[in-house]
Amino acid sequence: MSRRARSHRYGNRGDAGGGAPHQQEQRQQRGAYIWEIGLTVAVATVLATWQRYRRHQPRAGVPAGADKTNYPHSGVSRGNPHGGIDMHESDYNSILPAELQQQETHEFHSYVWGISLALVLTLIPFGLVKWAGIPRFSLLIVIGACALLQLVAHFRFFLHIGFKQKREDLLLILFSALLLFLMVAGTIWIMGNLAQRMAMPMSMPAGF
Amino acid sequence: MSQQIYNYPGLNLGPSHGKEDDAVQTAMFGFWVFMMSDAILFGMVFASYVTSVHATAGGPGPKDLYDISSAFIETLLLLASSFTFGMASLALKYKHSTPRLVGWLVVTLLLGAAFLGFEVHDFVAMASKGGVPQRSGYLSAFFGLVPLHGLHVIGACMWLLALFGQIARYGLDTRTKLGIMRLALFWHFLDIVWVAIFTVVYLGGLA
Repeated sequence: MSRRARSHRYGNRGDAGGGAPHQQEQRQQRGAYIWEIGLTVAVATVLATWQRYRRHQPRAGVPAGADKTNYPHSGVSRGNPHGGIDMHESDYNSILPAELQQQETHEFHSYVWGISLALVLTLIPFGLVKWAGIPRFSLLIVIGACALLQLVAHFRFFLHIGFKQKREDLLLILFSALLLFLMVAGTIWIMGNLAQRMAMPMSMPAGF
Repeated sequence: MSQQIYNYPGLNLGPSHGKEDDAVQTAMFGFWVFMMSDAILFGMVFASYVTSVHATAGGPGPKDLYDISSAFIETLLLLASSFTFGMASLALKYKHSTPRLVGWLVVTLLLGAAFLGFEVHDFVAMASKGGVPQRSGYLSAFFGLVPLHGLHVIGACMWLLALFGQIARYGLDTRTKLGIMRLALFWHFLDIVWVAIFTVVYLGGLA
């Protein structure tokens, strides 16, 4: 749906067009150019990530951690201001390198999942807003759903938040989310309602 | 081993780091408390933006001012920087060489700087179309929200520079590791805030 048709359908907020026709055309050309660059970057990122992902698959016969150089760290640094249990390094060195390697692959995959999901969940709403002519309300619902999913993906795969957390950490995050929801939704509700009753130029039911 | 229980939110250093893993625990939890209060701050600024998005006072509105291509590129840059910081975290955790860790961090910094460049370009373009903060309530709210995120990114970049200094001066000791771990959380957090910004501000405004 064209911009003109949309603005005709959704309220009369004045003309939203931008400048003279030739200017608009120029901007559109530049826009297409930038989109090509953006998509190229996205595809390149996915390909590069896939390359690394394949290289990270554990191969049989290669000793784990063979290509790694451990940087020397003496274990003693500028003191340990946060206390902590006093244990010797040797107590921790019982982990097998193969296990460590496996864990690294696992955590690397976590980041790959994160960026892949985030890319898809970014491309969908941007693509829809740019090209698809679906009604505004459904569009907003789809955009919002994608954003929520992307938030979950970021928390899960980048910040490593899951249900195997120590309990108070997850509670901190969930309680903050609850507070955030109450305050933000409450504000939007009350102020939106006020605007409606006062007939202020804020003609939306809630949100956006 | 992959079924480990996380001792603190975020990537755990793990037992191979010895007592540093214990030292990180308290600091990381404290940093989460800070980040969550920062999230509340952002949430309230979001609420004020949403409630005043139609208060354009006859001035330019979202459809006149926003550039979807620019917002898209900024999103990709920040997402990529989040991923490269993740790679830096893995390099730290699994004790790859320090140059490799610093390399990932440098890439992250460059992506962050590119993001800021695009954002400044956006603001200048908006101002040239009459979109200045004092024009309307909507624009005041916009410039209260999006540049606030930009300031956070600037702060994170400066923190990263400070960490380079620390790595150069002290090497990867406990405090440096702690700084990298916390900045990783902060960086991913800023990416999450950006998801909310491009959804609510840019896509919501242009839909």
